[in-house]
Amino acid sequence: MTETTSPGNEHGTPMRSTPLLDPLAPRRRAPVGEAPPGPPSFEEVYAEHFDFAFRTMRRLGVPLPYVDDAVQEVFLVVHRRLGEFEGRAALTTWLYRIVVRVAQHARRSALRKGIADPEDPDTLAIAEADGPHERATRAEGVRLLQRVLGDLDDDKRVVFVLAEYEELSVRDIAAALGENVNTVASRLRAARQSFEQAVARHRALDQWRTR
Amino acid sequence: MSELGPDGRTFFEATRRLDEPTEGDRRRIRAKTLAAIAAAGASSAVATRAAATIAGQASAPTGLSAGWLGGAIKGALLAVAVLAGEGAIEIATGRGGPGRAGAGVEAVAGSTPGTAAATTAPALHERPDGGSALSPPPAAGGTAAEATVPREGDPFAHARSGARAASSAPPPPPEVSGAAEAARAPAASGIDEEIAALREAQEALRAGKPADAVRVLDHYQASHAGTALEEERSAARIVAACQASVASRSTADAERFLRERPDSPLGERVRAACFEKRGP
Repeated sequence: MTETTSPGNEHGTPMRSTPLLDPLAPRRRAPVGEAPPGPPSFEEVYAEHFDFAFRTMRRLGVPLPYVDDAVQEVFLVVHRRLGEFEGRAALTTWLYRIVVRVAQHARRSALRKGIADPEDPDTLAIAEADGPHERATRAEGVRLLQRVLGDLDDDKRVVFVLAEYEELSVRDIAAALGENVNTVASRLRAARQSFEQAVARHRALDQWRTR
Repeated sequence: MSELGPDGRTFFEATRRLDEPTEGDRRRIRAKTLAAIAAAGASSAVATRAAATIAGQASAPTGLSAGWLGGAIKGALLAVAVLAGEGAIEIATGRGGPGRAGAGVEAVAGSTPGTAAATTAPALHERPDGGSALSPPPAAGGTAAEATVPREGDPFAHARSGARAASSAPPPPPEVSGAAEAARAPAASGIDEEIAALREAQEALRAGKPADAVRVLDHYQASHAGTALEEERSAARIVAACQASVASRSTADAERFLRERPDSPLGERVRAACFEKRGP
C-alpha cells in the first residue's frame, strides 16, 4: 500500500495520511495536458472505505444491532452524492465526517432505547472460524475495548479513534470534523491520557493480563 | 507514532484488530446497501406505484435488521426482492412514502470540510412505531432531502439543486415502465444499468412473461459479467426460469445457486420458486 505522509501530529511526528485511499492515490495526478481524473466510482469508494466505516462504527460505540444500518446509511449518502465531488481527497474527508456523524447519532439513539451489544460471545466475537476458546477471548476483548473507549467522552473518543486506530493526522482529523487543528491536537493529548487511565482502571477491575 | 504509554500501547495493540468486519459482514451489508440503492433509484417514479402495489406484503429478504434505521429504510424504499408469492422480482417497498433516508446526515455532513462543524444535528425523529428516522418526515410535495435548505458556503448546493430538480421531475406517463425509464437515464452507472435490467425483468414477470425476463437477464449477463448485483440477478433469473418452466436447466441452476451461496438471503426465494409445489 502506498503511503503518503502529512506534516505530522502535534509533536511533529509524521503520520499516515488517509491510508484508506492509498490504492487510489496514484491516479490522483493526471498526466500533463490531460484533465484530472474524475471522482472514484461508488464501487471503488465502497471497497476502499467499507472496513473503515464498519470498524469505526464499532469503535465509536455503535452497538452491533445498529451497525449494519449505520454503515448502510453512510453508503447511501455516498451513492447519492458521489458525483458532486471533484477530488478524492475532499471526498475522503467528507466520508470521514459522515461516518462520525452517523456513528454518533446511532449511538445516541441506541442509548435512548437501551440497546447494547449482545451478551452472546458467539455473536459478539465476530470472527467466524475461531474455536470456542478464541471466540470467548475475543468477545471479552471486544467488551473490554468498548468499556475503555466508552470511558472517553464523545469528542475525545472520535479524535482518539481516528488518530490511533486509523492513523489519521491531526490535520486530517481537523478537516474531517470541521475543527481547528490546535483544538484537535489538544483534544488528542487529553484523549490519550484518558485512555491510559481507563486502561489502568479496567485492567485493575478485570484482572486483565497482557498477552 | 503513537504517544501512548506502555500499558496503553499494549492494550491498543491487543485490541486493534477486534472490530474488523468479517466476510459475512461484508456480504450482508453489501446486499442491504445495494438493495437500498436499488430502491432509491426507483424512488422517483416506480416507488409510488410499487408502494401502492406491495405495501404491507413485502418482507425484506435481505434480512434488514430491526435496528436503528429500520424505520427509515423500510419506511422509505428497500430491497431488491424476489417475491415468492408472485414469483416476481420486485423493487420492494415497505411502509411509508418515497422518503430519502439519510437526508438528515447529508444536511450535516455536507458542509464544506474544514469549516466549522455544523451545529445542527440531523433530525432524528422517533417514530410512533418505535423506529426512528434520520430524515425528517417528507414535506408535502417534496422529499425530506428537498426540504433541507442549502447553507451558505455549501459547495454542494448547486449540484444538489440539480439533483433535486431531476428527482422532482414529473413521473413518466403510466405506459412507460420504470425499467425503460431507468434504461434511458443518461450516464447511468454500472449499478444503475444493472438495476434497470432487474427492473425490466420484473416488469416482464409482472406481465406474465417469465421467458422475457430470462432473456433480459441473459442479455445483461452477456455484456456485464461480474457486476455488483450478480447474486441478485442470478437469483432473479433462476426464479424467472422456474416460472417459465424451463424445468431441468432452471432446477439445476437453482441447486447450484443454493450450493454455492448457502447463506444467500435470496436462497429461500429460489427454493420457493423452483422446488416447492404450487397450489392448484
